[in-house]
Amino acid sequence: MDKPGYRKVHTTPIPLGGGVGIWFSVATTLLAATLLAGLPVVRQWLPESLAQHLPGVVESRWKLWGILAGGTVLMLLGLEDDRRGLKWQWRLAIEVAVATVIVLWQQMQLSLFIDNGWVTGLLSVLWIVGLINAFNMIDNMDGLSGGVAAIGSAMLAGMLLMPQATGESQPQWFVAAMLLVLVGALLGFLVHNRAPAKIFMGDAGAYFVGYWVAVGSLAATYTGYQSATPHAVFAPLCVLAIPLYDMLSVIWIRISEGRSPFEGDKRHFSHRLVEQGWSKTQAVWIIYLATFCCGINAWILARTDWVGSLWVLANLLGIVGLLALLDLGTHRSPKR
Amino acid sequence: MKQDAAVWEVVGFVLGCLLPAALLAWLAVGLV
Repeated sequence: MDKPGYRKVHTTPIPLGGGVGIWFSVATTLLAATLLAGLPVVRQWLPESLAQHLPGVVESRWKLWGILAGGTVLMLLGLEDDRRGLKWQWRLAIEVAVATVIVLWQQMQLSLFIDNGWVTGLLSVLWIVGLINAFNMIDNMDGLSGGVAAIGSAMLAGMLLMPQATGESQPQWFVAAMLLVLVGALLGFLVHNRAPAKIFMGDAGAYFVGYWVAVGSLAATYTGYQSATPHAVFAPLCVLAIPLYDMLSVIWIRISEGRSPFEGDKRHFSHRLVEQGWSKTQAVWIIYLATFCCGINAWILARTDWVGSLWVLANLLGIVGLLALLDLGTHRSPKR
Repeated sequence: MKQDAAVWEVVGFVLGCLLPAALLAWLAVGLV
């Protein structure tokens, strides 16, 4: 149960078990899909364009189960955090350990054209841990974290499924499926979590969702389709710009006020919008739309040349800059 | 030679991923 408190926006105790439901749904769907992919009868049912990928799914299922195991550890960590409240040092240590194992064991690394495995490995661990915490931090209003994760994952999956201009490319079915299953699970969860929420995802859900989005974005290939679009590696940054903005801005506010960045409060982007006079529902929809507008840049990035990528960057900075300007009023009149 | 997917196959794939997960989550979260 999540009890009302000074840094909460709800007024009655609300159960926190939604994250377990999200995890259960993703794990069950993917386990069933990877097991069914090995059955000959499934190959007969599916159209050839999809059936030809089934041997690849069977081959990769251990990899997927490994990723799922990492998510399960984080979900259990979050569950323990929900029940007892863990020290942030312990939480961070376990998050880093899981991220490191996944990066090293599953060879999941950011493709940033840096010819140094240590640097890309370190950045990849930072990316996973950063997103776990970003989705945990943005989980502060009914439907917010789940909705933002669903929009971001759907946009990333859409980009991976889009037919490419070269004609020799193939959609990335496997990673798209990972993300779409999460989107489905989040939509099912949002039926219960939309305002007024009957249940929250809790830390268990936020850790799992952040991890899954991070690993999905690492597992995708952004430049294999067209070597003319190396800038497409920045697509996940566009899709996830808003949760990252929320995390970085709230850390900045806490540090500038001389507090620990891990100390919870009501100074998140959504809270700041409500302080400006928007209703909670309006604040959530502003953040949904901002996520969508930033995510659109990812789709453009995958299809444009380097000059176009500069326009995309300008557009992204414009959206984030606009949000930062909207924020300035609340920074000047802090209200805890 | 890999065969390209038609639009309806992509739509079917998307729904095939979304619907079972959504239904399971709706039931599981509702039961918690």
